[in-house]
Amino acid sequence: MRIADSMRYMQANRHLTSVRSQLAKASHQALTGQRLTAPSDDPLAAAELVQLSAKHNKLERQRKSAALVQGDAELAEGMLAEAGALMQSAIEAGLKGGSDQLGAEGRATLARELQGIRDQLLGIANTKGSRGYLFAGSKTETQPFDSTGAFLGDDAAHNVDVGAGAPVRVNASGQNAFTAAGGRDVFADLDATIAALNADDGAGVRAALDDLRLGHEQVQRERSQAGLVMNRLSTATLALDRSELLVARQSETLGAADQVRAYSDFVVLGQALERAIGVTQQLLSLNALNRS
Amino acid sequence: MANLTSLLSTARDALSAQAYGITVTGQNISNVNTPGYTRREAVLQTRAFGSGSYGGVNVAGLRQVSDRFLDRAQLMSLGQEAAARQHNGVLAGVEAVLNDAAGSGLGSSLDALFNSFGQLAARPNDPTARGEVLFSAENLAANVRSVADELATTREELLTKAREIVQQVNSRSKELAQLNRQIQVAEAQGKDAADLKDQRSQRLLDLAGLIDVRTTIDGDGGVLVHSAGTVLVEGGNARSLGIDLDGDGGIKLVSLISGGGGTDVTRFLTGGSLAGVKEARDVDVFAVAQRLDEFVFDVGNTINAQHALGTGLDGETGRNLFDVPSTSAGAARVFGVSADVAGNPAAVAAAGDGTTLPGGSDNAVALAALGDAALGSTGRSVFQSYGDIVGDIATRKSAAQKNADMRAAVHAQNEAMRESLSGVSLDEEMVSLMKYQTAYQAAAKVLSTVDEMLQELLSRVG
Repeated sequence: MRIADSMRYMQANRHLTSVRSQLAKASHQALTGQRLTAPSDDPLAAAELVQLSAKHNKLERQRKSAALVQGDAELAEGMLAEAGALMQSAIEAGLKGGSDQLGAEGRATLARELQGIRDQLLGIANTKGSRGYLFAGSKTETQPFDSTGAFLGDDAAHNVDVGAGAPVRVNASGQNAFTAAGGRDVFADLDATIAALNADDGAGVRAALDDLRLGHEQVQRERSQAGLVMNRLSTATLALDRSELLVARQSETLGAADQVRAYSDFVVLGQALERAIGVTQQLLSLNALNRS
Repeated sequence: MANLTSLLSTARDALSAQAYGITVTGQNISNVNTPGYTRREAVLQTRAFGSGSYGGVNVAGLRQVSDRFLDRAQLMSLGQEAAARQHNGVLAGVEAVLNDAAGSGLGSSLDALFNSFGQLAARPNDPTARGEVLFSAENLAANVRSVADELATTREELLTKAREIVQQVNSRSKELAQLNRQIQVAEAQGKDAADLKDQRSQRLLDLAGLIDVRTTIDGDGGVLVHSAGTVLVEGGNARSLGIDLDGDGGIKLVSLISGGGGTDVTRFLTGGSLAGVKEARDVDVFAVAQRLDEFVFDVGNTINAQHALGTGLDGETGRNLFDVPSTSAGAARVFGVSADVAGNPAAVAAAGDGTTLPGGSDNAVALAALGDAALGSTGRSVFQSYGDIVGDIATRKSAAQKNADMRAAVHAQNEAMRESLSGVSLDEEMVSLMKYQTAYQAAAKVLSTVDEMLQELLSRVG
């Protein structure tokens, strides 16, 4: 084949451009660790990576949601544990107050003690968390229990998606813990016990004890529910961690470059470019005119 | 039998012919890097001895070494390569607009919006969480409009480019018609028209980069140029092309008729950067913009439908989060946050109904779950649908890149074949230079020998 000079230049240009282009791609992979420089490098993988990224973000979002509500769930469980202990103290005070050995003065002292317990319990029932009153249901901005112990909240669930398949209720129910809807109106029962103590009515105090015990069980039940919520949040967080790891692996398989190969390609192509430049220089300098 | 005087003439002719050969070689060397240059050969022929002539050499003229088939193949492949390169270049720009890996695209804005719904579900009465929903919605809408504007601007720019290309086509056509006339005049006057033909070849190459070109040499040495199914240049006459828009807003190529009007020749356009512009603008960018409109229309309406079911902190229900037009056409360019909620975080409908205010989060949970819900009639989720758009652009770009590479390889091959025949080789020119130089020296030797012989003869006679 007859070789014109323009052909030699064109060939040299094509080869150098080709090697430079491959080197640019290899250097991008070695620098960023990413296999794809643009979606068109692998359209299927690019589309899949968009979905994997969305999946990763969803898991991240669910984890954030779980973390956001975790504090309130722990606080609710702690407050209900405290409420259970107070109810236990109330029962013990009731036991003492129901004794025939105790006189009016002793019962009056116990009544004051019980009043203190009731006030503490009211304070617990009106505890505020990060999003408002913990035991108010959806009425988070309204104090759920007034001084008489009347309930002003509701039993609406605060549902949050933490990746457990269906949204999870994360708020404890003040209604079930402290009001007749859960079985006993604990404030009314405490008030009745205090009244009996103040009236030096030992039989009345003994009669109120069963209600206090039922109230205690009721608070403990709701505490167990709060504990379950904490468990579910912990389990969900662990599951989210595992899922995130899987998604990250899938993304890596699709989008990450083989680091060793990328660096090796970069080195090999760099050497190839040096050789190509040398050969080109030599090739282009070879002509009859240079020998004349 | 030749006498000494005729030998002098023979030597004179030889000196002249070899000098001509050196001149032609010099021309070739001078134009070694001139695009479109066709190498020349000096055509020497003998003067037959004994038939009224004296056996010398005669310069019959100049020959351009070319092959019409190779020239035509080069023009055609150049046009197809230009079209593919243009098409690929435009798609590279479109791909960059929706390249999430590089930080552009809508993926992160969509993620942010659905994340804000998730955070709102966790803190339904938190003003910051509510503000975040509005901010994310505004951000998504702004990014959608930005991408849509980018695509629309690309289409506008491509229309402008098509008009510029057609102006260049018309300009080149006129130059070709003029060169045809000049060549005909030169050849009629017996002058060498090689330079003019080279100029014409160069104009043809320029034209082939702009529009598909097929050529035929007519009987008068003029080149007949066919482009987009119309005769663009015939002898000394050139036809003009024009650009218009068809009913769908697509580029319409019109072969103009003197006196007004023209014929639509768009469907015959097959090559040159004009074909690449047309395909990129009216097929790919149009399709991507349409898919984006449909996607935004579906996402906006799906989110609106759910948002309208919920209740804001102010107890109001039935409000849209986004402004979405009644049809998908052009939806992306006007996509925005609804005036019903803009700037009013309390209007974000996190609660499922008014009885669960202010802490109800059911609607926020449902909004966050829409990321996985089937969108419109496609049956694909929001992120699957967006991934489909990214995949579609990537597939188009990948195919365009492969086509451009293939067309470039074919054109390089055709160019190499044409250059192999018509290109200048300095090696050959060096050999030619030596050949003519040696022949020139030999002819000079003949001349000096004859001169010596004549001197000898004169001295003996005298």
